[in-house]
Amino acid sequence: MAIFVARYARAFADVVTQEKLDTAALDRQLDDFLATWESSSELRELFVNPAVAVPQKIAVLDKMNAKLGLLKELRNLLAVLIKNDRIGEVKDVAAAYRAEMQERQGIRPVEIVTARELGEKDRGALVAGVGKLAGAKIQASFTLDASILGGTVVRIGSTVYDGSVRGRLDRLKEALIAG
Amino acid sequence: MAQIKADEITQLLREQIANYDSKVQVDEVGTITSLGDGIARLHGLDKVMAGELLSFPHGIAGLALSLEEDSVGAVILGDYTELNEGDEVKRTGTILSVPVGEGMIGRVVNALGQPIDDKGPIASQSSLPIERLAPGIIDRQPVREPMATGLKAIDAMIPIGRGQRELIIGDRQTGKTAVLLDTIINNAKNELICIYCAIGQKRSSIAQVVQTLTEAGAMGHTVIVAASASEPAPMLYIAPYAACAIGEYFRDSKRHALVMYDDLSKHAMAYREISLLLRRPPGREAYPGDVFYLHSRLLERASKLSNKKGGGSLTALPVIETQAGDVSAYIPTNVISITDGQIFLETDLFNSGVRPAVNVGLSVSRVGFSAAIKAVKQVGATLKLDLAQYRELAAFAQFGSDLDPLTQKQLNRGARLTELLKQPQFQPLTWQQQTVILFAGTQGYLDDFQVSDIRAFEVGLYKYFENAQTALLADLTKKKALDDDLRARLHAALKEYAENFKAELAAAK
Repeated sequence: MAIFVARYARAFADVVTQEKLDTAALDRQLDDFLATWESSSELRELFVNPAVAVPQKIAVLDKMNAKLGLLKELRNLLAVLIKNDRIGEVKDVAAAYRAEMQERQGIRPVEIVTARELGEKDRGALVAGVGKLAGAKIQASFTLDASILGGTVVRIGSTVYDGSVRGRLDRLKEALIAG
Repeated sequence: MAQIKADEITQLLREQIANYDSKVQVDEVGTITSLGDGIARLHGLDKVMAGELLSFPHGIAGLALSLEEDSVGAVILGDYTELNEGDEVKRTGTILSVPVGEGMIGRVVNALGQPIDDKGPIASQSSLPIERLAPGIIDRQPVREPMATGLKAIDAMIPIGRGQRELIIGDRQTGKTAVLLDTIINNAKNELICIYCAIGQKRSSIAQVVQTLTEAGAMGHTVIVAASASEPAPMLYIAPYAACAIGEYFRDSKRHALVMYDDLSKHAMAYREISLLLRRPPGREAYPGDVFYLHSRLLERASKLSNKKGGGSLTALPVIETQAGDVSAYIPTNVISITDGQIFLETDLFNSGVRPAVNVGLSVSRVGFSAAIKAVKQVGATLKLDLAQYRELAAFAQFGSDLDPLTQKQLNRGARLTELLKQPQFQPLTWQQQTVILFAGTQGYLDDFQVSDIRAFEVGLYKYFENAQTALLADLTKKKALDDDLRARLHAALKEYAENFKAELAAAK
């Protein structure tokens, strides 16, 4: 990710918190815009093309906005990205903004890898346990990976809690070779 | 040896497996986002510290060198072709360490302290981090003991003390490494442990050094740390720090060690390579801004410890290779300003047969004189003055005008003293021998002989003193300084020997 992405995301998050904007609505609108952005290659080409003058691009954005009904701040963010020729990275900016907002709300993304599909009850227990471990609200995403054989691997930020059978076997192998 | 049966091994393994710690392993990990030229950029590893050791897959180690907002730049110590983008990298929470101890003596190791000779694994109990803080002011004491190189030109005029940092600087092929090897060979009997750190040299040259030292019987107190030109830049970068850590073990265990960095210009180049690949902004000569700190923190670790700390010492002899004698380039000026003096070796002198090719006028030692043995200092001081006058006159005498007898005499004396300072390789002299020969030179006993006869005069003189003047040598060894009595006896002995030598020369004709 380019270094400027985090700066735009942080600045936007600052505005959102300061103005106490409706984050849920913002999220929806951001999704709407990104869906349009993804589906229309004409739009992408137009916005990224440096030959098109900035006022022209912003005029297009405002015409789109009439339909999308974006909040003023979100429209401004997009306008600034267009003006600074960074609109090409709008997806990254959006992702970084969401991560930033989660961090500000004390929600940490957690990746949980299991060998088998878990039942609803087990998932709940696991999420509660991991939440205690992380000391924060968590947003868990589950993935399946049969190669870990059993147990779970939990990833909070850059810390990995490896309780998998595969990991234990690997460590045992290392210990036996070293010993 | 007791035999172990197969089922006993199974038993052992079963126990080990049964009692194996089955706790959850907690790691801090990141992923490789880009890789190349021995540099990896990592995502994640939020809490990694600068200079921390990282563990890459396949048992490859790495160093976290630049910490940025959302990425970490690391250098890879080893073969990075096995790694892939997306691989997991773990924090280790430790600084890179090398094994240290008695087991290192006599061995050839790489920059990580792993043996690269054919003598099997190294038995070492302890290890030290390669980056350590230099001792503070309270922990030090002034340099007082001599660190003899066995070379007349250096010991008499540019003496080096234990704990000093003396730079050896010169163009390629001026005998820089030869000075170091002479020093190692000379210190076989002085209880000085020598660590020779080869940075960016050809493997053949390193093999040559090992061979020379082995033949001279000098590997018994020597450790060789080798990072050859074929190794990646990070290995060259850490090699001198590893060598220093190995030396510090001996310093901290109340002994004396000498560490030689051959050479630091290649080290600076390796660091420049790493820095540029890590995208640090280049400065003068494209070196990064912290290239001064790179060498100052290394050389500051050379020290003479206070008696409270055991009184051990670590002397440093860094080497810098100049390009066409340009000492005002960036790295040479940096290292000159860090060290306590420098020994200039010159191509012109080397080619005209003055070996070691020390430029006596430009070489200095800022702290060594208080460390030198007094007798050597006494003769050395006169020698330095005589040579300085000679150089001045020699410059004028080139105009070829008639010269008065006094000037003639001074020129004669100078030519003989210059000849006297020549010394064959790998034949170090004791300080007693140096005192005697330099006394003979400065007191004019050589003036009557041809310059070409001086070498024979010198060789004969050592034999004569060893055989006929043992009492005089013993007294000199005891007093360590020249008083009136010793001077008179030296004069008498030299007069006798000079006459014998004159008769010998006449007989030979």
